[in-house]
Amino acid sequence: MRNFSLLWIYILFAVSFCMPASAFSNSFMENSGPRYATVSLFPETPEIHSSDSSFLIGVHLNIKDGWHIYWKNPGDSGLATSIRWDDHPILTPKDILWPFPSRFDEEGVTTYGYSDSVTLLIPVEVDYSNSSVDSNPVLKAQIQWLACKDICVSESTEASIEIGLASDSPDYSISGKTKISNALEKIPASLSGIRASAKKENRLFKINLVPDKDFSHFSNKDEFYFYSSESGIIEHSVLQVVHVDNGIIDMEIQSSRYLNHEIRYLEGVLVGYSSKDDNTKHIAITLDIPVYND
Amino acid sequence: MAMNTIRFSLVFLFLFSFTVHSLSALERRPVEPGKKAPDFTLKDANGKSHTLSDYEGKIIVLEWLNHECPFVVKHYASGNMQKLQETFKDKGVVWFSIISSAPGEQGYLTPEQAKSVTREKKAKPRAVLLDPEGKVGRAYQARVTPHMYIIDSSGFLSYIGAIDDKPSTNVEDVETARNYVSEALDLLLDGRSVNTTTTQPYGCTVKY
Repeated sequence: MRNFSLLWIYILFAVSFCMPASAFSNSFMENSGPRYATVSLFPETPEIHSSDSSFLIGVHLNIKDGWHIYWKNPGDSGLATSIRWDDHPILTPKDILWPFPSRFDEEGVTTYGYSDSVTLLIPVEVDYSNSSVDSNPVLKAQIQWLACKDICVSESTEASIEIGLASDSPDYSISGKTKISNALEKIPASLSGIRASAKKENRLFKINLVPDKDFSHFSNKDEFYFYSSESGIIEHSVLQVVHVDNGIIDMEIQSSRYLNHEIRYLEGVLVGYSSKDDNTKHIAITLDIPVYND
Repeated sequence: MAMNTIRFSLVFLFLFSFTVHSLSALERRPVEPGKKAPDFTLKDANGKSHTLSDYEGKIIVLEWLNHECPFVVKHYASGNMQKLQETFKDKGVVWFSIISSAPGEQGYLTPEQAKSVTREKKAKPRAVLLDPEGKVGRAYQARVTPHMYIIDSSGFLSYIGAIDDKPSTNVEDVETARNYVSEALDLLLDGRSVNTTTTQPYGCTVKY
């Protein structure tokens, strides 16, 4: 009898030892949550006061090596990262402030997004008039993204953040503040000192950007790329022709093959890179360019 | 003898460069609504050959397919794609699902796997066509899965683009989406022309 039990133990041990690794990894995958990005939330300040009308929350995504997630306009494929917040009586999260994206090219398909890591910034409005608060408010979010490398995987997670009321926020940290400062540097600036116009001739947008006299950020040593905020407006994968002369930029961008209506404004982000080799950002500005159709 | 070799080599080089040029020209030719749909012949999962031009007189749907792409999963998990395939098959529309994933890439299926997955998903296309070299995908400039093409009964492209107006991977979005494919097919079957002939497709890149 004892030998029989030992035999069973031996068989169970042998079977579990010889089981294919995939059997374990599959169950691990099902229970382990997102695999290609991890999310953390942190506030801009250690606490909010009744006099505050708004503050920022950083939604930081750490992205697995070699993978990327998407900007608000994902480009030719992919899906914009999205955040859905639960309703809260005094805190109202607004639209995402998007850092300027990078470009990913694959087989004639160009997409816009982020690799390594990104911090999306969320302005949060504070309104005490609707409700009284006796404990630290907690904001809950559902964050969804599509992670792509040679394959694409749709992932999502829930996250929450506790905001301190006139006392240190439990989720506040100095490193979080640094991440928010770094993210703010990557938010495209809104500059008023640029006269922008575009003309649509057949399938070309001809853009002209004339800065004020004291604006000296358009250098002919830089490389520029215009990221359209909306999909279906420009051909993302077609080379953008850019001339910079005496601080004035002229660009020719092919319109999308899917654009079958007139547009009044070309909205997007112009990013200037200081050199082709190191790909360092020199300038990133939001543009809302009036379009004159031929 | 040497002269013959040179002549043969020159003829070979000429024919080779002509072929390469013709193929790349075919890939570069714009594929747009209102233009003739590029003809092709592909084998289906059962080994049967299908030539597009043999179906002239019928309305044809080409659906670029990768069953592992989350956007495709949305349309098959919700039963949306199967419902479209079945509804329009009953109205005489020929529906081809085309797999252009290269061997080793996501979405690639051997003929046996394609048959099995089609059964498992209860999909109802006329045939699942296998394009592992991506020739037809590239000729049609198919970028994503699902990328949808509708060809009218005269062989002209009537619609190119997304399946619907909700670019997401959420199954619940299917209910509220405006389906461009069913809209275009209804118009064509009614003898009318398609209003929305092109939209920005959404999905995963085709894994050529």
